[in-house]
Amino acid sequence: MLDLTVAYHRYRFLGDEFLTWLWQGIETRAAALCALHPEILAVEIGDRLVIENRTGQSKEKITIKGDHAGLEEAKLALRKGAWVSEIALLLRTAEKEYRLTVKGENLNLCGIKIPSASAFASPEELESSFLERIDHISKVIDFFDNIFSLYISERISAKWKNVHLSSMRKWMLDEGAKKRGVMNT
Amino acid sequence: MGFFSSSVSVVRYRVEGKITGNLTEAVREGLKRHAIREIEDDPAESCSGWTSFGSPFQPDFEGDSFLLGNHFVFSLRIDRKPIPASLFQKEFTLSSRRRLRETRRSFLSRDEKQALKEKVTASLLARIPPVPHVYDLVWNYEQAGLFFFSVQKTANEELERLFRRSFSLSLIRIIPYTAAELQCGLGAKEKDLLAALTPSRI
Repeated sequence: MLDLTVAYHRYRFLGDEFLTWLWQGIETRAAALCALHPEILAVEIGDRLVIENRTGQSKEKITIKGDHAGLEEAKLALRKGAWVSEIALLLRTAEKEYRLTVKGENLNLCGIKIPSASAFASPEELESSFLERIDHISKVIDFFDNIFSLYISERISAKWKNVHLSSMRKWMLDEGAKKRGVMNT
Repeated sequence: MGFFSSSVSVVRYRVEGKITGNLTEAVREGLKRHAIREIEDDPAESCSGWTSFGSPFQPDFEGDSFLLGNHFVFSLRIDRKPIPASLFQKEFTLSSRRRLRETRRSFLSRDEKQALKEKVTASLLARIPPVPHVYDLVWNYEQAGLFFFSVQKTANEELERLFRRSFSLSLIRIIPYTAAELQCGLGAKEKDLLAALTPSRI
């Protein structure tokens, strides 16, 4: 396997492309993504999205925050060659909801907000609280791994450019058309 | 942020290698050999080592205290003695004056100043209490996976170093490339395709 530092820099784009692919997936085929985990019923974009454009000499970065923030500017940036570098997600199961932020460069899962653990006083209660909490965390990570695997299988497939990338391009242009339509009315 | 915080951040690792012999005993031995040691009255600037999950200030690896379910659960503790710059400046200035008065001279040579700085630093380190930083980890040996609950660069680097020394196992950090290579079930041909990827252009 490649040296980790070399791999980090050479394939950093994979993480950003994955998050952009994920955003498109959430908007266009969320049910199919949810089907990758038996307990996840909904996946939504959360309250933060960071877009970076590293194509020029200087790096451009746009951060969009807020529960009901419009993502038009972010989509406009994508059309100029930017990619998503950080995305907040909201996952829902039948009983719980999980919020987290994913960073493209290292796939770190940050600020995972999960239901509070039960209080514990004895070693038995500690173990019970631990198992309850690790179950929540594992659920989030398993779901995340499953969608990353789907992305990688599409990314290395012969259909990437003509089908999947083309679909992303269409999604962006459709959004552009929609936006222009709104502005014109 | 600890495991039981309301909000946790996770860096994931793949654990490379296998432990031969009694697994739990080998882990216990590694934990005990590299347990955190107290540096209260020690001039050491920092110290790192393993400590118990849930009782980080009283490490105890007896029994199955570091086993919860199918997981090894313990914590990395890094103690540091931060010397405030202003405190160092005060101590150094006072020591310099004292030395000049004692020697009845008007200046100290460069070597004398350097020696005095080292003496002042050692004196302060022996008196300043260390500040503990505790980072929890969960190691699933069967799945060769480890969750480390901190994204701090220095904490992760120390984890990788100490883990190798304690258990003779390597940690491979999960980043986009290693996630694809190690966790997506790719065959040899698919790994070649992965290695040949270049950035897309939409």
